[in-house]
Amino acid sequence: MTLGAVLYVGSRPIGTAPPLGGLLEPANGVWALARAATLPADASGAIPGLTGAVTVEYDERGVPHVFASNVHDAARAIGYVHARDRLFQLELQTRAVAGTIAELAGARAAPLDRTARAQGLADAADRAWSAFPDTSVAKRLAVAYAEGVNAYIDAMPRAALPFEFRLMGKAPQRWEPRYTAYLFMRMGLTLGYSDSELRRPTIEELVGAEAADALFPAEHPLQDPIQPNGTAGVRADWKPLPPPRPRAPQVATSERAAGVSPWGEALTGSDDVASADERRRYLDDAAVGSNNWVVSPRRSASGHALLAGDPHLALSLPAIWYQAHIVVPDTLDVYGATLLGAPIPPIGFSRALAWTVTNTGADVADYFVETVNDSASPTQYRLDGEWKPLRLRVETIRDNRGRSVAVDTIRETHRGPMLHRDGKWISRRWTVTDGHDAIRPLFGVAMASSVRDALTALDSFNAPAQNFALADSAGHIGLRSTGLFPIRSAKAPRGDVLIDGSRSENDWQGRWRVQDYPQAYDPPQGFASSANQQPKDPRVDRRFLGADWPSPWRAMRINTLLRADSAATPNSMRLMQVDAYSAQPEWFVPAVVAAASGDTALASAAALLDSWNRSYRAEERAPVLFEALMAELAALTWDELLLPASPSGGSPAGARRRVDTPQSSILAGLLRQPESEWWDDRSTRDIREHRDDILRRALGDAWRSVNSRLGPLGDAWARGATRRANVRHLLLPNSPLSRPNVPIPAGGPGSLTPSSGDGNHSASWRMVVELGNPVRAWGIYPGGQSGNPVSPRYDDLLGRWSAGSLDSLRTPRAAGELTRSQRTARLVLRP
Amino acid sequence: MTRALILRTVLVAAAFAAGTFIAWWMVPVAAAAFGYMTARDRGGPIVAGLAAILAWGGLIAWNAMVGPATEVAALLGGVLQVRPSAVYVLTLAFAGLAAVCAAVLGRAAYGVLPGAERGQAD
Repeated sequence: MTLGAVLYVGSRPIGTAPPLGGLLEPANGVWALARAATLPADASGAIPGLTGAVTVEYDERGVPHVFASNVHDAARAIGYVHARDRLFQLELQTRAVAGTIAELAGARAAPLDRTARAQGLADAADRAWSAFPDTSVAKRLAVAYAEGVNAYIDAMPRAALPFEFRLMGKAPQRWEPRYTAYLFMRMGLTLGYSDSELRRPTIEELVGAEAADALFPAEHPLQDPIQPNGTAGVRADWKPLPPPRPRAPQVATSERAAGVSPWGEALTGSDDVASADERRRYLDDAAVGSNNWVVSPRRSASGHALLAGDPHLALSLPAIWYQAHIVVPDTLDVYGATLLGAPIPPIGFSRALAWTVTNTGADVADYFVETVNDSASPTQYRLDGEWKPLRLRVETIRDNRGRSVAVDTIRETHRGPMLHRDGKWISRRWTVTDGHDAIRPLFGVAMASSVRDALTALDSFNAPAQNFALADSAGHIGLRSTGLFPIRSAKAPRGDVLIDGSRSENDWQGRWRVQDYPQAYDPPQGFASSANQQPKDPRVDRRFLGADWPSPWRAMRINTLLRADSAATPNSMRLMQVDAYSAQPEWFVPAVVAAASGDTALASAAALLDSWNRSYRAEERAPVLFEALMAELAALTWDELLLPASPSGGSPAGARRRVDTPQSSILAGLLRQPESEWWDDRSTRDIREHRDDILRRALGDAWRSVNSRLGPLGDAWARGATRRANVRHLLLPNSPLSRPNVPIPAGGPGSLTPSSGDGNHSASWRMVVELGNPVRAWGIYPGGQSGNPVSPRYDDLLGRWSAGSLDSLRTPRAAGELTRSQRTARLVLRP
Repeated sequence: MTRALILRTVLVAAAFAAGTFIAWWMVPVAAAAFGYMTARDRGGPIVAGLAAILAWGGLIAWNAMVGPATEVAALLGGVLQVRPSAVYVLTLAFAGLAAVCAAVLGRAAYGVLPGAERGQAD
């Protein structure tokens, strides 16, 4: 009986635990991960389809330098080294798009899968992939990449099976070329998704349409745009905020309108990781944001163009990026941050060109209220007076034992998938799922030798829309918001409201011409920058590109620093990337201090803020109070946006949620209206509060809150003690695979190193490039090249990233050029 | 423990270690065979158990010489929410228990299988 029990637990999963025999055995089980922790000094492999030998040399930072005789062999080799270092990540991100995580991790992941299927990302990717000609650049490179991934999987030693597969008792699936398209769908979801339209009706019911427009404006009141507007500095276009005028006495919309993914909600009624709150935090100007800038030779100390970029994303281990250097003699020589699943880096540099991106944040998704033939289970929708059939897609979710755990029917109009919300059927048109080829333009950039060539290659880049900053060795610089920006119908010109779907005239009418994109090429000011702000001054072009743009605090700081530095160096670029100053407090602290003057109870708090240099350095104590102040101020001011308590009593008392929160710059503008109705606290019925009442109360509440949390003013208040980065594992966030509480020496809301309250977002990659001869480059990301958690390369870059350092990036021109001390491993791939 | 017994244990451990490279269940299979072959010896299952612990312990030591095995224990222990030392104990106990039980089964089979009975008569 005992033997039976041992054999059973050895060979069968118990609950979520894998079979113990295969896990624990020390020849090829989990213990063997120790043997796979470092790359062998010399190794060889075979990839069917290679046309010649490929040499891969790993430098001391674990970066593979791939030397191939043609680009397709290089793509095969990149697939191989991606799989060798990050096989589990490849699979997980693919399954996240396909909606098949439950097949790997069990039924608990089914809600995620149902949301993914409802979004239709994989369906759209499959259709786009089918439409690519077999001879297309994208398809040929993706096929070659897949050959590399699969060659590694086929030859992978049992000892090298990633830890996560072992825990789940699973083996990796084979990689299909179309999964490359899945990757870009995933990036589209991360960077190009928006659904503020779905909250808009609720906001209008609460405060009226005019106020809603002003709270979440299409034209941001602070203008320091990406496309230079000829103004040296920010321009404030303050307009009085219209008073709140609720449209109806009773708000009918349920509390579910906030904080829940509509796609998950439509099917499951449960919260989803990509909830509206999460996106709200992501989009919040103060919490996160990417930066890039380019400097022309006449403003650099060396006389060469400079480029710097730091895209901010959710932090994870393994990291989202994987560094690689690809050399194909006389054809391609590119070093970059690659994404797992694609053979070409979206960010990088060659001998002649460097490029990097920030997210544009344009509104590229619109929502249409459809008229359907059956409100419970529709099969047709009304368009121009005729009934059209809905496309029905039946999705079966399976668990890790192959059992069906959910069957959903997804309905689609010609615009895209529908969701069912508050009794309405709403379809979505979205550039990301329209089908796009990101490989060809990115490959074109990697092959380009000038900013002009690269911009031409990017003409066909559709989604997710990105602000590409570029600089070349001839001294040219450029920056362009690039992507498919829809031209809306004259009947439905704004994309931030729900649109009547019953008329085809409300559909998109085309796309912006490339020459109309926000852009700058060798601007007279000698630099260009982007930080997710509104790309184009509405005084230059009033067409709708988006709404609710992040406040330009970071853009203002970048441009101030660049204007002040006429002899920029790579090191000054690096220091800018970790600059601790925030422009945001300057717009609030003076008003708060003035309101608190004469109030002895607030003297200490006001003095602390008043003496603050607006820097988020580790030793500063005022930032913790300022952050608490801003949270209190938003809560007290925007109480008009609170949703009514749930009739079902689902929310605890006092925990009502705001349907949305205006950007902090809107609040800054409201400071100029001390008597505005918005300052009135609705919970005090007989008292009419004004600006200074609220400022004082917010400061007092913030002071008490921080005292309660951290004790009396002291070392515990220091920025360095209160804010950390949390770099969590993709699958097991609360396990030893994560690296929580990583110290951040500087940075905070509104600064160039913003960090969200939970510490889960930050600079995912920092890069500085000097376009001289030779090109010199530096970079770092928070993680390491290996996905093996016991490898020294799992997190070896994290410490230097945390310290704000950049590594010098090696770019050997040929195999054998790295010295013995620089080269840690070698891999030869043959047909 | 006599020198012969030590030698036998080491040889069996080597066989178990080699079998482990095929699959973990080779340990109980080999232990059952060992139990069958040593059915008339007292202590056969104990030898099998010790040999299994020695085999897997040796393999863990080999992993530790090549790479960070202690970090593997810490990692798995962290995921399973037990001490790293418990991972060592669990691994060795699993091997030992599987071998002892299988050897006992092998010895019992010796008494019931037709071939064994003939062998006993001889």
